[in-house]
Amino acid sequence: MGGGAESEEEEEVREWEFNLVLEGHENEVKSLAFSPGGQYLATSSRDKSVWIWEDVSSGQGRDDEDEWETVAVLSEHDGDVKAVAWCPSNLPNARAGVGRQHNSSEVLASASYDDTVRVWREDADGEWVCVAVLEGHGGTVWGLQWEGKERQDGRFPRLMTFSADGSIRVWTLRVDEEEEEEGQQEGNPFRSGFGGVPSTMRRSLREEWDCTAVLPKVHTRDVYSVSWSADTGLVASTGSDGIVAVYAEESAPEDAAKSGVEGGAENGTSGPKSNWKVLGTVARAHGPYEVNHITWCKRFDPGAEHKGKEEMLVTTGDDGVVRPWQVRVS
Amino acid sequence: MERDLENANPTILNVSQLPSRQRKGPVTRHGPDSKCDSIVFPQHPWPFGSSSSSDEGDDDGEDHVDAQDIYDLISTISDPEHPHTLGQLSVVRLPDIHLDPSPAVLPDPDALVTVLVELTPTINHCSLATVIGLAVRCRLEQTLPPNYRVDVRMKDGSHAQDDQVNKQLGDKERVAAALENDTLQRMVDKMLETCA
Repeated sequence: MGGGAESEEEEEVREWEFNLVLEGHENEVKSLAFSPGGQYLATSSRDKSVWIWEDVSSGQGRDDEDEWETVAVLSEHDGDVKAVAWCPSNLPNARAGVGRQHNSSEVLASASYDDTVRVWREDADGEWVCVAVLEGHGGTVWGLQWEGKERQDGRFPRLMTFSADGSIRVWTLRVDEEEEEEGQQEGNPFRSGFGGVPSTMRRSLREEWDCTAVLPKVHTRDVYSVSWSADTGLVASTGSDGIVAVYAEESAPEDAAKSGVEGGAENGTSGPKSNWKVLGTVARAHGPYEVNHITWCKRFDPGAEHKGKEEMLVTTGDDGVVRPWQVRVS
Repeated sequence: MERDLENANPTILNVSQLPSRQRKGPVTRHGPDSKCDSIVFPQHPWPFGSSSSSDEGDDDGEDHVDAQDIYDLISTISDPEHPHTLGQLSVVRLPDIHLDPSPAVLPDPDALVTVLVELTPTINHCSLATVIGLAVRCRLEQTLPPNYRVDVRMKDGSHAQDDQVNKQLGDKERVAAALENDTLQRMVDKMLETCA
């Protein structure tokens, strides 16, 4: 959206050359993400599908074209797939909860116009399958963020999702204590609604994800973007109402019964509920305009005390402007 | 073409029956050249800042947008299949236009105002409901200041696929995608031709 004028000042020759086109989607592509290891690329589109592409380049010869081949076309969503994101696998805890039947630790999540989030894994036969459907949002799920900061309790990274319903939710993978007992799950939260459990989903691969927090309500309209810092664990959100909000997780999770979050299992395997507080908000971050994106990034400007370490926020709005924000947490 | 009409005999109001002010506010509206550009591309700052025009009954001389202004902006949109306006067909009705909060009590000129327009398509299964909604949203986004958030919905129970249509009209990516479709854009442009 914004113009990039600064590139002309740099004389350094760093040319980007066109390499190849990946064809397959029928409508505009909404989102794409490389897997942490770089082996896979996930793309999503208004055509309701998620495609996973694998890098099969020979790696010989610099002038060779990259080669990517389609390894999966995932069509379980009932609406536009607004965003895809890979679980960070560089964390030690990202392997937690990965059963012996799982072939790889790469985990993909997708957010959709059908109000759901789906979690995908590769099974032992190399097939990508939906292992969970996260239902709870009352509107389009605009996107999602994986927890990038390693957790004290060694649990699997959590997932944060944000929606046209104005809410931001945190989901936690239920610890798989009794794998053998699967099949007799009363009150399975994934059974109703959008198709329930896909027929391609193997029982042994199914995961239970529980909503373990709803962030304090700030936004009055669609939440278009959330950024969860892998460094500080702070969360920033923005959206149609033009508000930028920053949240922190309270260190001591309160009793689950007090947190008022529905959908969790009561048997203690669903993971601790968490409480979040609002550290601050800025109204009209882009004047009267909607704000479409927000992200944490490192500061390298002269004003930074610890260049490349401290973080700042950057937002983009319907006014066509990119805005940097300094965040002071006292 | 006549045979394809979804509703061959709609009720039509005479123009003199439509809600209006005694003396219409002299608000001039300047839309961009292409009627949908303002939705697809970043908008420029609202050029009418503190408009000096005033309506009768306003004490402070400020021209606050009210439901009648919104009605005047969209009631003149043409129906896609009848040679009448949405006002004449009662698809757009003054009591179904809601402003929250009223711009007259806005604490800050940039504070958000939500405009909710509930449409009543002429018949229950009007497949053109989405197009009508698109035209209304397009018209309002093109003419209202950027602090206005436009919500266009089908009035409860008036349309068989309400939820789907409402959801689509509320999603700015889908609205933008619809307006990049040449056929739809031509239809919307044609509907907006009758707007002042």
